[in-house]
Amino acid sequence: MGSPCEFSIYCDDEQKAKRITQLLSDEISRLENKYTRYKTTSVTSAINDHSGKVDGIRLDEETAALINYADSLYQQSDGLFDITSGVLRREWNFKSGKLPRELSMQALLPIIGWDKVTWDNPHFYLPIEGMEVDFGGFVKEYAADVLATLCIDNSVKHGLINLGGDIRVIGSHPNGSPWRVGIQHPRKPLTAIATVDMYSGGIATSGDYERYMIIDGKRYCHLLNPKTGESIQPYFASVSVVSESCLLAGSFSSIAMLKSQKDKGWLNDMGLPYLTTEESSNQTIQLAGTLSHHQSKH
Amino acid sequence: MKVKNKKLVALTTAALSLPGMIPKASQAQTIPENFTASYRFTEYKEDDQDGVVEGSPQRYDISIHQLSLVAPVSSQVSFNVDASTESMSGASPWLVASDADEKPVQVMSGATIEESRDDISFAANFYQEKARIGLGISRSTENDYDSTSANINTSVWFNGKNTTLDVGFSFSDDTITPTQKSGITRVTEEDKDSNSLALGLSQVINKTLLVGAGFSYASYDGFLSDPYKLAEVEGVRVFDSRPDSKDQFSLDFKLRKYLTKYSAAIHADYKYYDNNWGISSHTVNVGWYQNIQMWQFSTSVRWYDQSSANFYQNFYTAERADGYYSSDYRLSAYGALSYRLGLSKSYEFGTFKITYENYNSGKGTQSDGDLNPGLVDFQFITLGFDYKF
Repeated sequence: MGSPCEFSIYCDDEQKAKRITQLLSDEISRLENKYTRYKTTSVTSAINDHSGKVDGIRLDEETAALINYADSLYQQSDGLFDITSGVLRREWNFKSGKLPRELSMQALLPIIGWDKVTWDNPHFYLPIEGMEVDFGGFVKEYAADVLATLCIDNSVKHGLINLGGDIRVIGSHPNGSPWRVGIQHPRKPLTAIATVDMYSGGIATSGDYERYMIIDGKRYCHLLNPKTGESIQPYFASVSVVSESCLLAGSFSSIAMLKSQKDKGWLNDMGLPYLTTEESSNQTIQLAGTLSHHQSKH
Repeated sequence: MKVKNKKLVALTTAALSLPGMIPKASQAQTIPENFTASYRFTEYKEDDQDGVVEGSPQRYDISIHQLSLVAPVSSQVSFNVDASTESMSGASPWLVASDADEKPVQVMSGATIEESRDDISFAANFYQEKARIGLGISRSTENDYDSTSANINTSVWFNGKNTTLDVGFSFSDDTITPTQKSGITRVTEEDKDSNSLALGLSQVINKTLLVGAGFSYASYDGFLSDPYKLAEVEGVRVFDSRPDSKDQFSLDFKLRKYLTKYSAAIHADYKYYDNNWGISSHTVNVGWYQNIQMWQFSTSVRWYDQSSANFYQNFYTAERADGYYSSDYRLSAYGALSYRLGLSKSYEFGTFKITYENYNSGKGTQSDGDLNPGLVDFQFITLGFDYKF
């Protein structure tokens, strides 16, 4: 999945633990191969290869459900979470240290827009050649939940799935103590700014530090506005959300970041515990939110 | 309960329809999750009989101890064992006689009867992803009555597990060997068989509403009379005598509505019953279940109304061509109203429960003429505890 994956499971016998670990590895490979944009054999590539073709593509049940979920994300984020916005990466190269050329970016906007696709389950049409979908915005979180379900179906009662910081836990540790999950410090790589006690459910963080560049002192992060192509200037440095599933936690943290430029209170009424970090003018980091946590010394 | 945000509901719904988001084990609350041992103690007491002309006015008191164990031994197999023992004492209605004014009066059995009954049943349930099959046997013994029964039943879940179809068959073979009494020559040994079929369909309409309907049919063959009861025919006491077969069916409807705002549920049930002895009945039950954190308070009211068996009379002024006679109040036309109060408290390791019921019977909509004087009123209290491990 392009980032470190970690499983910790408690099992009463070693053979069983090996078998389950193998199942989890196989499942993560399956999802990776199915939804990566880097392989021409993936379902994502197949969908994108069919862009502009009048007959569209017929989707399998799982992909159809992911498309339904993407549709909900688009609706509930008022168009900010859009799985067709990935083409902007052609112009946004965060390693280049250069901003996209305005004209080239404008040229991409016509092939972006979930409202342009036709979704007649199971038939999916990307109407304009060159349009793309990218499940990268939530498939990792989905995978964490799928792996957790596999564990539960195999009678694992205590475990933790960590897919590059998207975390889902299955119960506590066997002695009842919680999993202590670190929240990434937004300005100090590999440092936790806080820890959160997890007894069940998922936690995910979306931050402006994942891919970014600083030009003339201004931070441009990977969160892009699908309507303008611009990099969003989120109010928060990061948002962490806890939910019953990692998928929901990830979706809400991403939408909260996207929304925060104009509506920093968006998460308040969602009914999910959250923790935000924000950088104040003197460059110190402030923590806020409804999620109980232990602040780390740093 | 806090009403969830619409965006959260929308995304949760979309997320839960993704494959692999819901563990198989929790998809339909199918196989029980825990071993559960339960104990119930019930004290049941009938009100004393009024206007007794013969015998003891003290009707039944029954004490019942029940133990049950639910044992999910694997992810697909669960065993259930139930055992109960009850001891009863008191007198029972013997017959309805006519007094000098041709009015019905109750004759009770004489000395207090001391009886006990033991019951044991065993069931195995086999679960698949979309179905369950259950097999059960049970045995009940009293000093004058033995019953052996077996059943097979299945549940099938479909339509995304929102629809449940239940089908069950059961068979029983009973033997009665009445206690003899000097001066009365009762039957010595008689048999009774029964077969029944039950069908049920329930449908989850949405997160807070469930509806269901059921049909059952049963047939009984053999000795269906009560060997301890008599009837008065032209002033002469004869044995209770009923047809040696009976067919019955019932239709029932249920509704369960959860009121999120109040953390409460309404249960409403209706049942129609009919048999070929002429008895038909209506039962309406309405209940309110209120959750307050780990407590649950419940209250329910049941209304019951039945017509009489076509051969039933309080007493007979002429012989019947078919020779059937019974003055058993359970075959008379009557109505009953009962209410029930329950309180339970749940802990992580189990649940304590207490239930009280008060039952009164009397005139019903089909009652015509004099009521059977033996119609019963009773109360009972049940204390119980379920322990999960």
